[in-house]
Amino acid sequence: MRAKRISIYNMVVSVVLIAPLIVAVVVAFNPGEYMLFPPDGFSFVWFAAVLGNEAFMSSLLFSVQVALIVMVLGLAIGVPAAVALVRNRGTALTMTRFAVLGPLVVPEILLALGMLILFTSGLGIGGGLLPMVLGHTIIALPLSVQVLAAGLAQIDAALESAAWTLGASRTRAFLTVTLPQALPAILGSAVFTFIVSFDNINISLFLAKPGEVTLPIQMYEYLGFRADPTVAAMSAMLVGLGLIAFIIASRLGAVKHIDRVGGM
Amino acid sequence: MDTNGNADGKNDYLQIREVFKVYGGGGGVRSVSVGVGRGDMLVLLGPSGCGKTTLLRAIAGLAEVDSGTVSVGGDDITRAPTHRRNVGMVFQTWALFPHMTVAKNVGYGLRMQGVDRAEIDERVATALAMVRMDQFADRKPKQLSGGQQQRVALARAIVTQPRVLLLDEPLSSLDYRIRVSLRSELRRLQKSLGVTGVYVTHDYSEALALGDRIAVMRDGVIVELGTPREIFVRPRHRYTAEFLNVGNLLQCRQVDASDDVVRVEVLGQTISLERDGATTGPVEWLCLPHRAARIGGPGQRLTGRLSEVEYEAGGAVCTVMLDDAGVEIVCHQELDADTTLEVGGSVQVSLDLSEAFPVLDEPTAGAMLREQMTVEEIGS
Repeated sequence: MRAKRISIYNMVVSVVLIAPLIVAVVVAFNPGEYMLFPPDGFSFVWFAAVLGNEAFMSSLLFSVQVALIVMVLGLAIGVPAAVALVRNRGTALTMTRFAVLGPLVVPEILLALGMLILFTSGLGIGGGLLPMVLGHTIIALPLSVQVLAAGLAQIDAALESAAWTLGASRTRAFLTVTLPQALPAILGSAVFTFIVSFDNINISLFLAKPGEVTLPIQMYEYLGFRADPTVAAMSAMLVGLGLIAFIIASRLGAVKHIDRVGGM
Repeated sequence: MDTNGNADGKNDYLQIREVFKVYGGGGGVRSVSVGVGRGDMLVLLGPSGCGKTTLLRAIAGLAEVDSGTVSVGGDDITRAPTHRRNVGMVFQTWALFPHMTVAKNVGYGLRMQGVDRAEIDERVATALAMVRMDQFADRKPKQLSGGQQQRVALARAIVTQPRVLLLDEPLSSLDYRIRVSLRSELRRLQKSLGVTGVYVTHDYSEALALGDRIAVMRDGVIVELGTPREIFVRPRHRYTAEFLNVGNLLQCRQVDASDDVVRVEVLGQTISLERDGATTGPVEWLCLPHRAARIGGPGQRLTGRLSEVEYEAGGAVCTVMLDDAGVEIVCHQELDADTTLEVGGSVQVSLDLSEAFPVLDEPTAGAMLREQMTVEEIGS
């Protein structure tokens, strides 16, 4: 009885969560100029249109470029930070925790404003790729570190000690024993960071340079003057790509670490 | 005095001198000195929090000592990083690398030493055969039972021919039967390899079975150090006698003492004890070995009430509350058809007090030192 009630609850929640995605995907197959739901036909014309749209393609490329750099940067900072969080104690740790988790509790729009002022008048680097990468890294880091720390915390600290007693230096022990086991968490964190950057709109809005905008902003701006299903077709392709990435990541065991963070 | 025992031997292969490692919470070790002869096994025995694991980790370099020295074969390794110490260690959780096969696990240390592949294969095979795990070389640790994982961990620790083999309660998470069979196997292996070992445990039967010498620890210091026989047959300290369950401990009053004989009053009787070198000051506690207390039995008997009976292999452990003295006596009783043991019933206990020996009941050096340090801390 109880189990059944839970499953109905689950179904309702799932439908609510998935419905907008389904609508966006279905709408993309409209043959006409308008985003009708349900669609009044079936065609791929808007998919062709989006692939031929230079503005969309260049923002997609820019978004991917930013997200990839953020991903690498996020790991480069996140892995050492997570190791410090999991293995150490003391004031350095408290500071790391603050630095890494701080952005999580501050409204993103405030961070965005601060970054804009810092990057333009403070550092004089204006808008564009570099500020965008820095901005996204700052907001992605708290989550990516949490994912990494959750993964690393699962690894018995005695394993590394054992490697030391067997003649492995600290670095070598980390590389040969800890890292291989942290791989799923690292992968999960990488996927996560990519998504956070790719999805972001607040920070991007403030730091974008005219003619060099990320995909979400491009889509939003496009909707401002045209209501045809181009945006829906773009969304449908992203949903497809996202699904493939998720399946690959979960096959590699990367998703469970994100899950664990969700439950904290 | 007991702390040093015969550890002063300059020829000991592994030497620990005046090692301090104090943790904020009060744990750790204080001024511990002990030595282990080449090919010998030293067992560090004590309850949790007595500092035995800290000492082991200090030897391994996993805990940095505050002061004192650790040396192996004459080389001072106190400040050497763990990976340069050439120690083998078996962890309580075995700590096998889960992403490697058994063979890869065992070969890890050799790969770190840069041994060439053919030799690694050969030595791994030999080590696995030694612990009878050669059938499982290609398995992952997860596919093995606890006892099998323990054997692999042991093979991994000895394959590099370490100068010292360190074992941190390696059997504590195994079933009783496996524990007993593995411990005799471990003893044989350690002796046949001739490797110098330090073994940490809280289980006195394990200590008695494995150790060439046993260091009984409490509050961060070694209370007593000796061979299993010395420690078990004639413990010097009340703490040791209690921890090893050697016998009944009886409070007594010294009535008369000369240079070589002490007369004490215990349970309404006055007995003479030979004064032995280790004992100074008035005798306050006696240890009466379990064999000297029997329900029934010959000689003078004391009346008491049987308060508890616990059956075990070969007999029963009976607790008797003596009527006059108000003292509890534990008898390890052999069972025969005639004996009836009824809890709450009246029984006659015979105590052979000539078997009793004096034990010291003084606060350990560690406890005193800690008190001193606390006073200093408050003072400063």
